[in-house]
Amino acid sequence: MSGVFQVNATLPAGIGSGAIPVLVSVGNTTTPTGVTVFVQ
Amino acid sequence: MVTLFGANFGPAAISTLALDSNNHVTTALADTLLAFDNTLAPMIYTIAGQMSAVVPYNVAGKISVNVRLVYSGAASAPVPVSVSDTSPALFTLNSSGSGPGAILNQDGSVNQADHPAAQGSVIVLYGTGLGVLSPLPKDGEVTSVTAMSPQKVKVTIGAPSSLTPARRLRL
Repeated sequence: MSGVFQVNATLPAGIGSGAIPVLVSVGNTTTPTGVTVFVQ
Repeated sequence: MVTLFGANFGPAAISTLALDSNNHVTTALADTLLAFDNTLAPMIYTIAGQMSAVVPYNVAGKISVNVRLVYSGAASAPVPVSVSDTSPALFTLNSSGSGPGAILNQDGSVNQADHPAAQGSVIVLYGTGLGVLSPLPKDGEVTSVTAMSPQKVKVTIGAPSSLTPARRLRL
């Protein structure tokens, strides 16, 4: 639906485990901090 | 997507997104309308004192628009609102915009503490505020056509050195 976006990304190796911060940048703007992804 | 709070509007019971005969999200829901300048916004939900809608694409190129809410034929005073071409934000599991993201693991499961993603695997993130896309969809359009951002999209996971290119982007 217009207004919603999806982005697929590959988790790089060596980023550690637990709740890891994730950001998406579009041009010169970036999503707010504080969003995390759980990594093992 | 934006959420507005106020008084004297909206039904007692929540009314949620509806599609018209053209498979577009309607701009009227339970007698509730929201206009950005003169363009009606696709409605996500409305309930007494709160509503959510999708900002029309034609705010692109503007720095401010007048927002007006109409409920049962009565219009609010216009409120000037700052806008920008792009204002991305990720959805989160608790809907607050912070904390664990609304993310799918490579196997399609929801990313959670007891179901983490493996390093080297693909994750799927969802958000809003991407701005103008190419091809430009119509406001409220529901489509399976992949539209891409004309701007460079990057995903940063962990330290900035963990920058990984976005592999796919669509609405």
